[in-house]
Amino acid sequence: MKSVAITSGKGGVGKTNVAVNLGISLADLGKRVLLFDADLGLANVDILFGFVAQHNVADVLDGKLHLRDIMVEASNGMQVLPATSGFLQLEHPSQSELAKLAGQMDELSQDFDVLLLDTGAGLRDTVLFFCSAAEEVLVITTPEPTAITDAYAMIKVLTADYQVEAIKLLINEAVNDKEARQVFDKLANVSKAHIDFKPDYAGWIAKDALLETAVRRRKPVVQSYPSAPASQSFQRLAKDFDAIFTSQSRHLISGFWEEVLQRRKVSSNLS
Amino acid sequence: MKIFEQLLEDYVVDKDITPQALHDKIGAGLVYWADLDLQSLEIDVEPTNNDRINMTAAMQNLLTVLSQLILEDSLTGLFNRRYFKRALKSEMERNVREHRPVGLAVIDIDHFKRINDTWGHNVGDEVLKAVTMIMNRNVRQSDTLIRIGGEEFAVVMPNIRYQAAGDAMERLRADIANSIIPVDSDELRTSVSIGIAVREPNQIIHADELYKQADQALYQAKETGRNKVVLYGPPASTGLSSSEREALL
Repeated sequence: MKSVAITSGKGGVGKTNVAVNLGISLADLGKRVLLFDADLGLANVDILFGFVAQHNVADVLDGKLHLRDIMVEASNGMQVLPATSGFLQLEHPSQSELAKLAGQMDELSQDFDVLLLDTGAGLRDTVLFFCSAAEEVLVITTPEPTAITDAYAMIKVLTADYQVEAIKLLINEAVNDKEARQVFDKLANVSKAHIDFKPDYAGWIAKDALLETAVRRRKPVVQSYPSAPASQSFQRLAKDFDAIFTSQSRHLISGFWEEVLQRRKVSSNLS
Repeated sequence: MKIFEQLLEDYVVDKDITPQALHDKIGAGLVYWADLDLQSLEIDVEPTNNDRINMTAAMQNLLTVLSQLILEDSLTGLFNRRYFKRALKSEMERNVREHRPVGLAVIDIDHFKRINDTWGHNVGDEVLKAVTMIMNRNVRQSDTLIRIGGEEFAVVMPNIRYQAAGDAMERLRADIANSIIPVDSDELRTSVSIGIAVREPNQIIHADELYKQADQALYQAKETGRNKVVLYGPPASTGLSSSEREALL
């Protein structure tokens, strides 16, 4: 199972839309997709899909259910792990709670080809946890200046403090390929010059009013308007997926987090 | 009575204070009560309005003294841990309303145990007082200094930017490292490690989380050699240099 965290420095740049529509497009290509709504306290994947989840991550953290029990089939070939909105406790999960979720996702790995982690925005503990646990991170920005600076800040922290090496940039709401390229080049050049890191180009998603309409209709754009420009962008992104994302596969609790959690265990055993 | 109830609640919640100490403190406060000359009031006579006013004033005095005693650290004269969470929380709430950043620094004296072990607890106390004095001259009027435990202190810094918080604490650190503390007929030097976290106006972080972040930064400062300041974060884009910012815009 290939795990990809979808994130952004700034909120409101279309993370959840990308996660949902990329997920459906991948499922349409025959991949078995698991989408985890990892913006735990402010979850909204279910809203985009128009379903109401019976159970969610809160029940898993309570120990009542396994992640497997809360999966919902949101589209043919795509399962969603819904979170919940408005649960303060979930906005600040502890490291051991996060590790529990990641561990259970690892247990589900053989049933899926792709795990998409729809994280929240900004440099919050939960976001950084999932980004550093996933094999690759897809950072989303729009051509808007504040989104660009925050995307860069995110890349900087992920590479400097969390040893994340595989970061792809997706330019959302771009007018055309040229604009997207310009945004990417700017970010890539600054990253290269200041932090000696070069993110990869994941492509771009067309700015499209139908996407908004789809959100209001609570049916993802690739399903409600399959030939809309934004939908075509998502289908293209899904087709490029294997090429864009390397096909290595490892568990979420490995590398960086295995070390951290191991250290935790050792120090808590000592005290 | 609200303050009093809150104090008692705090007492029950953190149990930081022994029943005997609480008893003593209440005893000290009761001196004020005695000033009222209650004996002059006859039990079966309805108290006059003046008596009521006097009693209310005395009660308020008592509560003020009590709350000071309970919220103050007797050695350093700083606020104590009991005040810490309340101060941090209300400061954060105020800064959210005013849409301003708020900073929290956690300061720990390096190798304090060694000072205590080598020189004795009296010297340890002198060092705590000397460090308090140096900290006091390095914080702003609007900052709140708190002794949150043994050799650990906190500074709540309202309306401060990420970089400014780092600069201020760096000055404080250097001042302590360069100071000579006279003890008995001798003198000694000490240093502190400092962890800082700043909540930006657009971030959703509550007080406990901010404290955790500052504490993590402090841990890192300790781990990587002590006598240094470590900033948690940086929060999105505030950690960027001006040249990075310019290049991106």
